[in-house]
Amino acid sequence: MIPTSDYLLLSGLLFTLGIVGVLIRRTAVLVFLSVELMLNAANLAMVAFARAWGQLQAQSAVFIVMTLAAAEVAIGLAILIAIFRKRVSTEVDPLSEMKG
Amino acid sequence: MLPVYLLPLLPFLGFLVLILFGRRFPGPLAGALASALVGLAFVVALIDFFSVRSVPMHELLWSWLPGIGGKGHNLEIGFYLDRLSSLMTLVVTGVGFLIHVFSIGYMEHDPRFPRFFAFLNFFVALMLILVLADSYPLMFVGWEGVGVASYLLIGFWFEGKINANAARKAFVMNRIGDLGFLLGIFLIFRQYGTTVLPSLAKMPIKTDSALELICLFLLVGAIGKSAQLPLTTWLADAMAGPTPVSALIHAATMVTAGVYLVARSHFFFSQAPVASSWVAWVGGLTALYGALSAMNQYDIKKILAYSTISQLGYMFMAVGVGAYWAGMYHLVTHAFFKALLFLAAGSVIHALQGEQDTRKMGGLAKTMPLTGAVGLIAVLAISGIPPFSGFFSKEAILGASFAYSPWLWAVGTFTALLTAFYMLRWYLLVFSGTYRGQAHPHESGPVMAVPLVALAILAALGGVIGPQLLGSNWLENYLKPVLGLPSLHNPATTELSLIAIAVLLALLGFLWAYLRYRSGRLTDLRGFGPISAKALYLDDLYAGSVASPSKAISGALERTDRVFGGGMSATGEVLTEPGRWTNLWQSGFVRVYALSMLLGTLLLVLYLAVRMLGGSL
Repeated sequence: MIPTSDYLLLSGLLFTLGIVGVLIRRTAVLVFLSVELMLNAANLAMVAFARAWGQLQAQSAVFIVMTLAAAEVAIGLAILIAIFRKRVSTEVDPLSEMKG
Repeated sequence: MLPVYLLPLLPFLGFLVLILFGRRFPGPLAGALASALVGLAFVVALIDFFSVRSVPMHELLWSWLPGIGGKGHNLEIGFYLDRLSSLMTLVVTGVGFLIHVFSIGYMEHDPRFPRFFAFLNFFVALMLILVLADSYPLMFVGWEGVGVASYLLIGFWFEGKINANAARKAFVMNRIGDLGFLLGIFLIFRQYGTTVLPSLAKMPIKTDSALELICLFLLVGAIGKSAQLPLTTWLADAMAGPTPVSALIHAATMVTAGVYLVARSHFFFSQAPVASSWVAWVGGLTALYGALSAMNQYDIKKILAYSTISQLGYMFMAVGVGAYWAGMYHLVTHAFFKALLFLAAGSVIHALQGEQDTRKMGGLAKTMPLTGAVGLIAVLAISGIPPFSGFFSKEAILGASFAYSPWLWAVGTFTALLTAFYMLRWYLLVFSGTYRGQAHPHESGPVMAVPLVALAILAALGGVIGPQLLGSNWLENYLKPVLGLPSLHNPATTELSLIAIAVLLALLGFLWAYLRYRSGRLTDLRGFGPISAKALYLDDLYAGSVASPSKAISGALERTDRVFGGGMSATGEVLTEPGRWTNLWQSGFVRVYALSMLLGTLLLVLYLAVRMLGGSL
């Protein structure tokens, strides 16, 4: 059986990839993708712990996260499309109207 | 007989249409519409004039202030048409109509043509409300309304600072009078429990100090509106408005509202001898003041403005000595000849492309024969030469004032001499001699000529409504049911000698002006000349005694305010500055926000980790 620590390692790797992606990518679509990656890294960690402890709470939490992610995708993509229609690009850096 | 409310309603409709849709009326159409509505109002006034002879009409429209006079006593919006107000409606709509028509020609090149006629219609509507009001509060509405119209029309060419200032001056000085009028209304309500004119007229009014005070307050109001001493200086400046406005508002109708107010309140004034003598003497002194100021003016309209002040003084004399009918008589004839004088001046100004300085005129009787002829008729009428209209009305006033006080008569008669002098001076400067200007004068077109001719006929023959020579006369008898008691009359021989003296003095005034003209010294009155040109320094007196102190006070207050204001702003700045530093964090870059979120989470995790490890350590 694959040890729990391997799962956690993979989860950590995915999470780091996600953070780096959010920080260095300028295209909103890829930023979005990276956020999804981070969510799923967390999911993986939770599932791994659930297996390690033999309990189901964490597994059910994963379902909540997945639902949440689906809802977030729906809204997020809608916003993205709206921005694209207005600006013909999905670069995030020029979106600075709300600057204080 | 037609409903009375039609009278103000017709011009008011014209005002609404022209102010809202003025741009849709091309060319002279807006003027034609405005004139037609005032003409219609004149027809209504004429029909009602003939049907109101026996019983006055009191028309209640709706309840305005319910329960104001105690339970069950409402103040209604109502119009009261009796012989007095009917006469006024004829003057306002009739002369108003002619001046509207004249304006179509005079204002033809103005870019705000429809707006001008909207304001004129507004004025006529509010003037009719003033005249027809059945209560003092409603009269006050019209009173203020015509004040607004006057303000808007004096400053019609508001691009010029002088015009805008003149409009403001007129408004502010009128406000002083309005305060008096308001206090008068309050006191009337307190003393008699009602402000409705027909009810007050039926009440037994006793002579007491409260009544005298009421009348003096009303006099203050009348003084403001009719530019009498000491609130007289706004009228000369009001000449900044277009000339038809000067003719309609500042000569024929609005400024006579003060006279109308006193005549309308005759049931008060006839019981208030002290206040009435104030009215008479204010009038006498103003008549003299206006005539003295008019003697050495150069502006073609300013001469007429001071002459208006002087003639209004005559009317105040008349209503002050109790000859209310004579005041109304002079009001009517003055409306004719003064409107004519102003329109003739307007015709000249129009022909000379806006030139108003009489020193750059002269000889215009040759190039503008019609204007010259009607101008001469008006000059004869105002100077009191028989058989022109001004003669009869002025004799009625001078006769009544002689019976009241010979001193007042002496002031009035001396003023008549001066009147003849400055009016012939006006005529000679403008129409006689050789032309001294650069423009190419030409006679005005028919749209301006027809009103001139109509007014000339009225100015020449308007006296027929009440010549006093025959003892009783039509106008006095006509107004008797309203105004009650007959005025003072002199014995026939006294009357005839008074007339002879006045006519002789008027001719003497003519001779004086003509002799100066012959010797070429018409524009140069040594000694008294500069004093007259500055209108007896009244403006300078006010500038020194009222304007400069208040300017100094407001300047000091402004500086104080600036100190306080500066302190407040500085405090605000100091408090805002640290807030601005945190603004830097809000850079607008989404990825910076993401990074700060990450760092924040890391800090939280670190804190939790330290706490947990610390607990186990």
